[in-house]
Amino acid sequence: MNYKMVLNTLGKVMLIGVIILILPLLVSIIYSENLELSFIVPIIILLVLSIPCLLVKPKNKMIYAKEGFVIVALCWILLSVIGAIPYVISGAIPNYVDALFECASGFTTTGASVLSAETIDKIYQAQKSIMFWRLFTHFIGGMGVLVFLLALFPSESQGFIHIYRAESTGPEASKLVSKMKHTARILYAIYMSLTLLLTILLTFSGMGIYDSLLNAFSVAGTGGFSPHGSGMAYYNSAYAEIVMAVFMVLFGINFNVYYLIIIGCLGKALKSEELRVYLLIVISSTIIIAINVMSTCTSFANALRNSFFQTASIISTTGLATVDFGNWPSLSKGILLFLTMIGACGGSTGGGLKISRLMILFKSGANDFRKVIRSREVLVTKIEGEPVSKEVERKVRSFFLIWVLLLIVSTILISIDGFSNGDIFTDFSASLACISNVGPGLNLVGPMFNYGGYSIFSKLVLFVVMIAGRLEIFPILILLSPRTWRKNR
Amino acid sequence: MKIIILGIGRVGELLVKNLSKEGHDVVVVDKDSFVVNDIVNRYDIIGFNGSGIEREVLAQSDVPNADVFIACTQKDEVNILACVLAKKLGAKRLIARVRAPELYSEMPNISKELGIDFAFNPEIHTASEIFQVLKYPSAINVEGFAGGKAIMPEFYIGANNPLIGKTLSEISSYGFKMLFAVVHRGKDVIIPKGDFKIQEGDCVRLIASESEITAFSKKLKIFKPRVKSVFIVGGSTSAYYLAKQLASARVDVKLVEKDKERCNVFSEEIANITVLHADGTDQNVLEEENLKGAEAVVSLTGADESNVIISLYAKHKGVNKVITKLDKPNIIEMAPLLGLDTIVEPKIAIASHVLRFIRACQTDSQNGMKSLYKISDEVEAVEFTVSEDFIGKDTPLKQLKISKNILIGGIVRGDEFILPSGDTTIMVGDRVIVVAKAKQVNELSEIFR
Repeated sequence: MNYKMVLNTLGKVMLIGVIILILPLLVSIIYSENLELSFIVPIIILLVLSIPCLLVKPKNKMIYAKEGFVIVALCWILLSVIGAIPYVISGAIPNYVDALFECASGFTTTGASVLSAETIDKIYQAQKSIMFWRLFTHFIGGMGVLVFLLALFPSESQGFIHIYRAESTGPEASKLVSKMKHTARILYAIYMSLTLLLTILLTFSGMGIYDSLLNAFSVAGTGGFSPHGSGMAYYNSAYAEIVMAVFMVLFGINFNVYYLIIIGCLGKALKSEELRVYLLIVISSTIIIAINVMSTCTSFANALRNSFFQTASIISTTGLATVDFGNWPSLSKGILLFLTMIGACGGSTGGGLKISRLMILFKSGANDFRKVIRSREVLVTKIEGEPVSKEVERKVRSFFLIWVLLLIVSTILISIDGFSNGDIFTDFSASLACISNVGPGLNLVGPMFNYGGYSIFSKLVLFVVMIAGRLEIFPILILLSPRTWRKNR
Repeated sequence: MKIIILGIGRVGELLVKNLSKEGHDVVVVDKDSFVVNDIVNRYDIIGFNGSGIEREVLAQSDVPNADVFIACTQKDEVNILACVLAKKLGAKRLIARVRAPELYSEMPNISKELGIDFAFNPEIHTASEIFQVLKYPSAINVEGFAGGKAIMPEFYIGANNPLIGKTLSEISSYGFKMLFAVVHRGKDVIIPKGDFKIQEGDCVRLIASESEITAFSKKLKIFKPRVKSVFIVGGSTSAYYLAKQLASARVDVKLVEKDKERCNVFSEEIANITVLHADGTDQNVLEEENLKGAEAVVSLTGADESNVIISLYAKHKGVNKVITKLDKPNIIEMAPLLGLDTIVEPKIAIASHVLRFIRACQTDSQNGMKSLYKISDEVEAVEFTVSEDFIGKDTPLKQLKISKNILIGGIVRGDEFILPSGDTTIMVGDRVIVVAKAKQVNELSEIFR
């Protein structure tokens, strides 16, 4: 383990943390809320911590896969721990564990909240900068802090691809162009332009610049926090809902597709198998749910509007809600639960298992099945017309296995405190919503409820699950594995 | 610059390492997906898996926007074909590795038609490198410019060197047509002026023609004269080229090779050499053939281990100059510990040769920069061909406005080496060697446009 390089990189991450915290500080100054201290304290802590880290001068600047995973995992935990401080100091969330949960939920773009609707409205009224911070964490977490670092700090150190791989989503993260720095900058440029476009479109709905920006953050990171206790229902604007739903779908698409469009390969972009499957799932789910919920809605158009918003929101793992889908029929709930699991495309800001991973799982499973029938048949799993290497296939399978295991363990651990009162489905959907970074589950953690009732222990379990889900498990597992830290390994 | 490298072997990897460090956009293509994954993990580059003669693979690797395309796979035919394809797709500069002697000797004739800008042959390069060292046994290394018309040897100034304490103006009064280009003193790299005094421990680089350097060494008896008899062990391809060069320079060559067929090739094709069919690692053979009587021993067998043993034996017998060819990095690392001082590493040598060409492409593909040699991180030696656009043609050098730190090191006009002075004028078609600080190279390419 190259400890010096890990520390040095963490030092740089802390500086990024300072930059991130300056924005809500400015907001608090603009609205003159006297909340400056809430942000200045964590900024000072980060600066003080970063000095010794940055003074470490690594001799060997190489980062290998192990260091990459450890850096990413440590950095996300660190930012959540520090990012929770403003909530506590401002008094918005007095309990530190609650604040930690809320902050991690923000960074991991989960959007599961411990706050009740009334508290959220109170914060929106009186503490604009805290609300800004709450939504801004979504934006930062969506594309990733370390990708931001790679874009900002040019480094002569080689192996930074391992950091990029550990943080970005999907089975195989590849660079867009040969330089890591340029790849990271292109990704952020696409991300920021889409967010800006969304903000501008939302202002036309009449929700004001502050609200537009906050909602754009929530959608861009596919987060799911809402600045209002009643969620999107507060605005009651069909225009805003449709714009947001469309952008949720857009943010769930692999960013490579946008890059291909920018460099003029529109045809190649549209041929993407993952994109087609994704859009197919969105469209078919929307139609089925719309027909299924007809009876609870005023008109078919209304049903279509609700079902499109909800489908887009869940498959992109945003988790915003316009209606309480907890009251929908079982079929619709079942589809939404399934969408929660599969999530968005690899290389997007969304969470879940990822479409491309499921495609590999499904195709290689089908091949195995055919092999049972005819053992001599030679079969190659292909995605996007390219053969998938055995290595990737194996990784995807083990990822799926560990993902399911973590889901089961988490469900059991959070059921201990008895919050769900015998309804194990609440615990299961809470775990699933956290590991997929969706946010709202069903029953007691449904869209109109919150996670506030869970015990401290359960919240800490879910905290780990959310970060594991966002980083796709391996970084957290490697960080926690004793083998990583043993000497001479 | 965008640089595409096809074929990742040791040479390919050395190119990737240097070019990505110098900040270029590097794309690699190789047939072996394992090799591609491995190299992408280690350097800040992007890699594709596929064959270099497939149009689709090349197009995907962004060859159409490539500034330089380097084909260095194992197969000459693939390299040449890939270059032709890349040219069609729009790559600007093409470099191909061509190893087969018959193909390489044809390259000057066909490369223009195929659009290949630069062909390199590792074996010939290794041979020339060894040949240079044998010509100037005391030189640490020798770089050639303008096709060898001008050379830049590097000498170490030892304790009893008569040049110690002399200023450069004093040395130039001896009347030799040569120029002190760069001096390494400790960690400093200095472009010296007339009042510069040479000290013990300096490493000096001269620029001159070959004959001038030989005459200078002879007259002052400072540097060892060229060797007259060479003992080569191993009949590899580079040994073939080396023996040929040495034989035509009238050096007495004795060569030991254990393969009979190979021996026949040497004795048929090269006149005036002694070819011995025997095992060169057998000390009795070496003893009998009077290894210790040779002025220099070159071990060029295919196995690094044998080369080390032969060289150690030669050293032990008191041979003055022992040259060892080594390929494996771990053995190269150990060689100095064993007391082997002159090591030739073909892969590194050829990689730096290719890098010289690529660096020259860097500033502006339109200028006449032919080759760029990095003397240190800060100082570079650049060779230009003077075109019609040169602003200073027909003006004496002293009237040209050139920055202080730029040194016109030498001019090659036709076959003649001219030592530049204030009254020299540069003419169109001259090849000019300039030594400058790295930052000024762009300024230079402006002047010599």
